[in-house]
Amino acid sequence: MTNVAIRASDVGKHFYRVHEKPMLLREAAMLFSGRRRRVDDLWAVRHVTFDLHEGETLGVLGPNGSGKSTLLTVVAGTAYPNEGTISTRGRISTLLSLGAGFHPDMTGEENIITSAGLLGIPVEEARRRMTSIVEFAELESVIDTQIRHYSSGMMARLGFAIAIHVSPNILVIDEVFAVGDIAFQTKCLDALRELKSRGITILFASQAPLMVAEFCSRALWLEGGTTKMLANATEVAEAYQVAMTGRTIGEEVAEALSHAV
Amino acid sequence: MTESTVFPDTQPQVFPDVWVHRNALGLEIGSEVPTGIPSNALAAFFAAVQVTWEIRETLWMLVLRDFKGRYRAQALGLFWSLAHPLVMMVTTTIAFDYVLRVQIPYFPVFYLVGAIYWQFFTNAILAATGAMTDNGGLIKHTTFPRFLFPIAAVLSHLIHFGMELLLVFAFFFVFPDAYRFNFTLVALPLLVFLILLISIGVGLMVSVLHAKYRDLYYVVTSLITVGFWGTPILYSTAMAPAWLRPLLRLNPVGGVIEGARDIMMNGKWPNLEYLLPAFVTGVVVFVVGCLVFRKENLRVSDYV
Repeated sequence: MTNVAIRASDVGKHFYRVHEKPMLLREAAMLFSGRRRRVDDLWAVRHVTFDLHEGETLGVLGPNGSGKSTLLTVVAGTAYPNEGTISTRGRISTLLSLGAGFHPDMTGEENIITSAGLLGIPVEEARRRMTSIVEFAELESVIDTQIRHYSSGMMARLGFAIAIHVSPNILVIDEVFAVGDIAFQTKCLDALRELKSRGITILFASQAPLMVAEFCSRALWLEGGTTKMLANATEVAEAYQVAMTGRTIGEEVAEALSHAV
Repeated sequence: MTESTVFPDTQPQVFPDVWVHRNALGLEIGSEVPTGIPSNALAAFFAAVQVTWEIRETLWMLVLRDFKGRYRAQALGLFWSLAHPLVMMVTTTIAFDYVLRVQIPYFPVFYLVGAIYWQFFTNAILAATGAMTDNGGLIKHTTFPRFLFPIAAVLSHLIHFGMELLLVFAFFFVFPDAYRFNFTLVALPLLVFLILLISIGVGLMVSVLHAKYRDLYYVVTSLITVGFWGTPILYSTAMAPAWLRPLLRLNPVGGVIEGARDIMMNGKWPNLEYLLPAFVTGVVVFVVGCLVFRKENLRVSDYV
């Protein structure tokens, strides 16, 4: 009996650069002429292998376009790998983008019910958790308002509050709560820490090495879709920070503080 | 961190012992070590049925969302949708009954019965065509089972169809002689089930293919126009020359319409002569739809 929760074995995912949206006629013509232009595939993620145990938190670091989001969608199961196997155990809750699944014409409350349903929570259970979700998002005053009138920060709060309230085994988050204000960000991190302490496995893409170092147990540094480094979080975060800015996290923080004085 | 009160369930999470493996070929559910071969289609189908039942409430919310969304910001939304078949009924009656003098008794009712089934089918297919592309956000960012989007689109038009069916019954008070109501009415839900099966089959297929090939929308709309004349809406199959009838009977929607007319207007059980081909093609369409969906679903999030 193992306690691995997520296993990526040589995972690769590519997109077609040429015909991102292939046309019926062109594709048909190519089939008839016997040449299928699949040569310039763009591998967004390739040869990624890791085991993540129950209760572990893996931070995914990397510059823009390095394949972080793609890897997350493959783990979450919204996209299938083209190579290798991704294996998961348990219910997955996702927070991959702001306001995905929210319907602008429905009220906050209706959206909570629908979104929770989309994440696998029955209506009755969602109603029971309603107060707690609204309280966490601190949106008591606007919960009966249509989502279209929410600010992006409010949507982020609501999305995050729902994602952590659906009793997942695995939580996949794509740096979305950066939109919330600083008080809410702190609250999110506290909530994530509590989820972690209860044994939930978290996969967490971020641009902030400091946050990864502070919050994650391990980290994966992606570059050009492949693994540049996979080790304990502080080590990777430090290396990533140095590679990106030429300074360590400590220097970075000291620098910021010195400007503030 | 202090003890939080935010979570209603405070038990530690229990990880189930069931593994879900995804590879280029598809999804496999089983033990820790994957075999590399996806779960077979039949098992996947029953799993899908089970999932649908488990999250029926969410499905219902999606159906209502689609249904309500159609009448958003319209003062008389529902009225228009019932007015449309009525306007068409009056127009076609004038054109076919009075001008062309087609020899069909109770033409308005004859037409209306055919038209509401055809309308349901075409509306459902068109809605299903856009089901994946319209729900792109959800498809890319949530793990919600995707086959439920086209199904929700189809079902939202079934509500419509139900209201139109009531309208057909209401016309009993205008043309009482056109109807023969008797115990054969119990077979009517069977026909509705059959057209639902066909619509879901076609809907599943076009929804995933449309994500990849956006041209499909124009193909679908063109085929619908062809289908209108290939379906016994303005005529009955019996009026067609003998050599053409077997061909027309391959159209499952036609079989459903003939059956509905026999039940409501003649008080007769549907005839196996047209119902059997309709049923067979209907089941074939459904199976093919499911298989195409199963294959294309793997790549759908790349295209929406």
